[in-house]
Amino acid sequence: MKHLVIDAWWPMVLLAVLAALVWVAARHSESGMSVAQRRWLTGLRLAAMACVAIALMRPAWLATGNDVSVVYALDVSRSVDPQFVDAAIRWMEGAEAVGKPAQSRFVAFADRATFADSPAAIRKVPLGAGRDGLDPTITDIEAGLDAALYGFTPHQIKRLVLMTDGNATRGDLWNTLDRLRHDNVRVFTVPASVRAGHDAWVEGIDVPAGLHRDEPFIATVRVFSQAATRATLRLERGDKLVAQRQVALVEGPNRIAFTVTLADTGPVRLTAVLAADGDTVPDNDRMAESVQVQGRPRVLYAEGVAESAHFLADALKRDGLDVKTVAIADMPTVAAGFGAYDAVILSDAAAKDVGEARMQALAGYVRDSGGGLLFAAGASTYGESGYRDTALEKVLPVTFEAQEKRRDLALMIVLDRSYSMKGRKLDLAKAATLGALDLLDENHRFGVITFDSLPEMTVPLAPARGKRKAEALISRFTASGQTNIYPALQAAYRALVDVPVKSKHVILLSDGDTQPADFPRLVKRMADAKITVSTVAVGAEADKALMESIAKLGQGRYYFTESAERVPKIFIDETQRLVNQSFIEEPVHAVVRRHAEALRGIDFTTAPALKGFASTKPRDSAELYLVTESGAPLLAHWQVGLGKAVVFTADVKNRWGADWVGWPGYAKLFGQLVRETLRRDTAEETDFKVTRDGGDAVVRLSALGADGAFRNGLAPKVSVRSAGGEVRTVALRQTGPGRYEARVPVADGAGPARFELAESAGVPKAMVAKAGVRELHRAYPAEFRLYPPNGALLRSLSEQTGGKYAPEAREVFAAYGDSAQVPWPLWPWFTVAGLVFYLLDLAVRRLPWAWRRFGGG
Amino acid sequence: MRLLAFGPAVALALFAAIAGIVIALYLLRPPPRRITVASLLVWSRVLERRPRDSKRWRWWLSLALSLLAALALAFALARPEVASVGGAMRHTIIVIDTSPTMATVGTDGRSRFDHALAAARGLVADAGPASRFLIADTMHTVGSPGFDDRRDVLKTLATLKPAAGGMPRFPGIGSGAGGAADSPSSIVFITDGVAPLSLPAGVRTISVFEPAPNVGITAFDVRPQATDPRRFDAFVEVGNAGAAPVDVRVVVSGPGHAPVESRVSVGARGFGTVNLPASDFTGGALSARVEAAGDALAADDTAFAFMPVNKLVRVGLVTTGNAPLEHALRLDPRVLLKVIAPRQYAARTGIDVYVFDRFTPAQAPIAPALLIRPEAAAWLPAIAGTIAVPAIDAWLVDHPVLDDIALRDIQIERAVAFKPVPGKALVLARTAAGAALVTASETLPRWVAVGFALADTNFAYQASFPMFLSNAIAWLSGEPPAIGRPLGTVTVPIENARVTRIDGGRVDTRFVPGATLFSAERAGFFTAEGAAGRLRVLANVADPAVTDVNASTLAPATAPAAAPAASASASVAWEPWFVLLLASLLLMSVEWLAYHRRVTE
Repeated sequence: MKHLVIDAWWPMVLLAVLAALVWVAARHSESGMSVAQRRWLTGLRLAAMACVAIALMRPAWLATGNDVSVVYALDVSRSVDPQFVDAAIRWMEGAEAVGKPAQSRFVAFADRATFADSPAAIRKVPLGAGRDGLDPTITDIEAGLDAALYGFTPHQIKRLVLMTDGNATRGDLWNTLDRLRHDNVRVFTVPASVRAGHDAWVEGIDVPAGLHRDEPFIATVRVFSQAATRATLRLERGDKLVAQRQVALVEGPNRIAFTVTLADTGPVRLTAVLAADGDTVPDNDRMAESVQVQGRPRVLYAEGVAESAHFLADALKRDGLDVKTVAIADMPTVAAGFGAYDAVILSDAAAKDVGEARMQALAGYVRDSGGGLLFAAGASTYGESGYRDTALEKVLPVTFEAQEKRRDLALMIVLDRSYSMKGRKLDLAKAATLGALDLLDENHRFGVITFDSLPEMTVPLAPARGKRKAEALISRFTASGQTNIYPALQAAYRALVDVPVKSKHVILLSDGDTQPADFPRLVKRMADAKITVSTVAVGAEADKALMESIAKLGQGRYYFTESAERVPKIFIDETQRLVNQSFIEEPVHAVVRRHAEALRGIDFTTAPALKGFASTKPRDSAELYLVTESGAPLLAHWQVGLGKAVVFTADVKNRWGADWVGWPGYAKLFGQLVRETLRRDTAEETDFKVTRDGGDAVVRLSALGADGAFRNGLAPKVSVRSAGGEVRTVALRQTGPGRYEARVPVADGAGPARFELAESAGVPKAMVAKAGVRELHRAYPAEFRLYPPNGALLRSLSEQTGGKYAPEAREVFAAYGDSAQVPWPLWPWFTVAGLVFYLLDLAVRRLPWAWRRFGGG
Repeated sequence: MRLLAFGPAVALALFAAIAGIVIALYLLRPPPRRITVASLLVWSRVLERRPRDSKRWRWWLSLALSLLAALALAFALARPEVASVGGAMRHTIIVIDTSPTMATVGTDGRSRFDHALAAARGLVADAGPASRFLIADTMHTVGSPGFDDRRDVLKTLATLKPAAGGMPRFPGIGSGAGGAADSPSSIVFITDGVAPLSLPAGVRTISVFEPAPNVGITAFDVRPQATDPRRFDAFVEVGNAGAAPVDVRVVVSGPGHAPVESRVSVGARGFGTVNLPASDFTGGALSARVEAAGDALAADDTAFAFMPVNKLVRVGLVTTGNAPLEHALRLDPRVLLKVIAPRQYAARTGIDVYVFDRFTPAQAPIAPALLIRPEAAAWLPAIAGTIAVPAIDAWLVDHPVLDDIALRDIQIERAVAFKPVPGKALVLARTAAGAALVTASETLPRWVAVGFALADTNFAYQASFPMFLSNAIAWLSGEPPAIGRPLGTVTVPIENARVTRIDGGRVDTRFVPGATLFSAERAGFFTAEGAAGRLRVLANVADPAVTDVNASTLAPATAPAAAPAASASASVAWEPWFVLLLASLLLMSVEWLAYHRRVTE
């Protein structure tokens, strides 16, 4: 360590010059002094001048000092227990007595810091929000440390005693770390006890975004408790009680969920009020949060059977949905026409009535605009004129491929075996017949009539259990004779007319002209007996007109093919149509396949039976919520494009659902189902947020175009109504691609601060409407969150600065090898020496004794 | 430290004593010199011709010189008395505004801060020698300031410089500051008046404000396009604080492509914006620079942004078969997928991220991992149990894995609840009852654990599922989004991190619990790496309040202080005691010469 410091060396140069002059003058002196006297005088004068020159060099001796300068910084904010403040003051007084530091300073801090004359004087520091007092609702440890750093006396060992709970609500104490370390300030941290030991407080309320009026949602209140206790938690909307619960709080964080429905639109204030047993700080027991509530969801309900529409419409209205009922013909024909609605219900509507244009529009509304669709089945929905391969089917979670097999079916195949069928044509007809037989279940009845001029019961009508025997019979017959259809058809009629099954069907195949007969009468009789007839005309020579008319009268399908090669496929398709049933009209019960929000709170074990349902095939990525006991889809859901679509395969009215419409779960199910499919504001196009940052509100807007591109160059403005009622407009500044931001000071007041996007350049009315209104409510100061002392932070601060956490008083004043460098200026001493030498010089020159002593005179 | 300090009475006594000694010595007559000569005749004639009084003035001159030399020394020693003549000892606090706008250069080529230093030196030089000063600044760069003498104060002033960023605050000085609780202090604040500061009562303000033209970057950001996350747009906002419109050249530079340039005309005291495509850069740090004529502040002319590197991620999907998951992963254009059967799984290189589907390796994998419905494993949080039909009530919307993802529509049949140890794993999603369903660890290698199988939820059918996978893989593959910080002390939430600049140079760091601190004195791009991962830090000025160097609450300084440092130092150095000593030294020399040349006697 360097102990002597010199400020300037130039006086030495000056001394050298002057000393030379002195020496020369002495050597050539005319004073008449003796040599000895001159030598003495020269020595004394040079010594005097040297001392003065050295004094001019400002020499200083750096002494090692052990004086301690100590600053005590005491947190007097609201969170610190007043008893701790008293204890801390006593601690300081004790420390002063023990350590006897050379200098002491006392700092009280909260939002800022102030010096006190003594530990006891800290009690007199005024507290309260104002210019003179410290604001106890804020803890700024950084400010306390900053002030303390100004309290030390230079050139002394620096010790800082920080007494706080370590829970700063403003500032960052680490900003002072460099200064503390640079000046070798050891920080001794004394953890303060917090104000109360049994307080509980509301930390916040979590609510989902994008709420609608009358929509049930879960509001979660976050509560922190210092100890396990019982409490009553109330949730209020405005000044009205929404819900109240008795809860057992555990020590630490708690989450209490409420199911809430709001009947207002716009910003709605939700307030959580906590009353906990043993609670000691009432200021933190209440917190308000603003919830943005959109209007009731608008639902367009298009019903194929108008007189039945009231069942669902009334239920949905009771559930808080704004329902508009229209006839199928009154549905919009363009996607934009659906834009005013958050969801569309299409019930029991025949595809031909809906039309291709409306289907396209509805599909676009769901897929591209994020709309919701509830498609309910019904008798009009399926069948030959159904939605198979339509634009609408593409957005539904099921396809209209009937999956249910008929249990009672009688199929009679009537084959032309006339000579013209000889060869491959007949072989293909046999193969087609065998293929049809393969598709049948054992409980289905099957028969084959072959005919030329006369019919023959080749395979008698019987349950299809003995397929091998039937196959043998089919493969055995050969071609011969002329074509005569009527007797064969008549034989089929006779065979089927008395069979006790619901579905009886005839497939008639022929390749030639037949003898004239009263086919219409026969076929009508068959129709009256609920026997349907499909016909297959093969080759150009077939009587196509007759075959077509038979199929039409027989309520079946007519097929014509030039080549017999297609016959097997025609038979198989036709048989599949017969076997697979489009809808099942028999009692079925709904079984929950997957728990879903739409099913929440509904006990399906109490649900009455549905009287029928449509047979569909679920898509791979569809979610099946409800199925029948046999596993057939009843309620399917999926996300398609931006929207959601749901298919309910029973109906929503008084046919298949006749018993459901009076069931309590009916309204709840369809209300929740519609809500689940509602078009949600994804907040991507216009994301408008207001958050609090200290005393400021931070307003953020993120804007995207319809194509997903950033909307740059806007000049958005926000109308701000302060808590005091003052209204002003604030411009948002662009801070990034599509991002805009403003920081607005908000003063606390009785009401909330209200923020609303204003129309401006590039910000149309629709965007303003989409952004909505935001409110910021006054929150109690963070100081009222009485968390345990942040010992880790304080311990780290002590470790970083070489201090000690929770020290004994004597430890503050321990040496720790520290010392302070105290500069002692030496120039006065050299000046004194110079003066003494100078006076001696004069004395030697003037005193007679000196002259005599040195032999002069 | 003051030694040999005398009160007035002692000093007067000292002067009298010194003067008395000198005069008494001069009243003594030295014995005549005895010289043996042959005759006295010549000497008698010489004495007769010599004027009688010629000897007296030489005596008086000698006495005067000796007296002055001795008294000069005595006066120098009695320095307190000289100070008391100049007035009472004063304590003055000088607060220098070191906020960023003080670096603004004025018309004379010197900055506002230079003028502030000059004004401070002037105050020091003009004060009495015994005055003491405390120097503080608004950016708190002075350690523990105390009252010092003028020479030390000048040294302290020489160490100050304007900060490039940070939050200025008037120092918390009070009556007890600087160990001078018993002395009245005056406070002088030297500022340009731009930083909004709350001043205590009684502060005298000295303005160094001078209007100046300035152009700076007030915002710079790079964002992926919503429709294609692989394409990026850059946005630069330029502020003009001057009173005249300016044409500004904006240059955005980055790796992999030539700089992109644009020009924008910015109106007086207004802002201009520039939107530039950034997709051609390969990713990493992008810098924006503005150039304009007559720019008065350099600190705000550069800003940095971060663009994630577009790279393929090798993902190993360990599953017995999960078509929706595999399909969703294949849809991500950044993913190079390899499907691995659980029995074939072994820790291997060549995989950037693992996705474990209902399979949990006994040991933590060497690569980051996304675990879907894991089993209990020592390296994962304990499993608290299975919950039927849990509903996700809250999720960390700010976590990168859940960026732009809402979990409210997810319906779950059953899930396992984790028991993460606080500090070791984050809870990303929880039920209303607090059960943790999705957790994540930021310790390398990172992992994300989802407590439910895809077969037990509709998550795979949600539009957010591919985004979740994309976010998770981006986060796991180790390139989290950069964090922006103002200049000054930067806190990085990684313990014991190594911080490097964009050129790879190490930055001095300080470690605190859960964080690392470092100083960013100019706009820059930093990388912090520690056991908890890597974090990019953008330290920018990008603040309209800094760029608007003319938003002062003060009137322009009419006559900016211009005292150079040297003159102030000289003024302080030539204190009276010093001059007296020097004079004494010279007088001693003159007196000696005069005596020995027989000018005096």
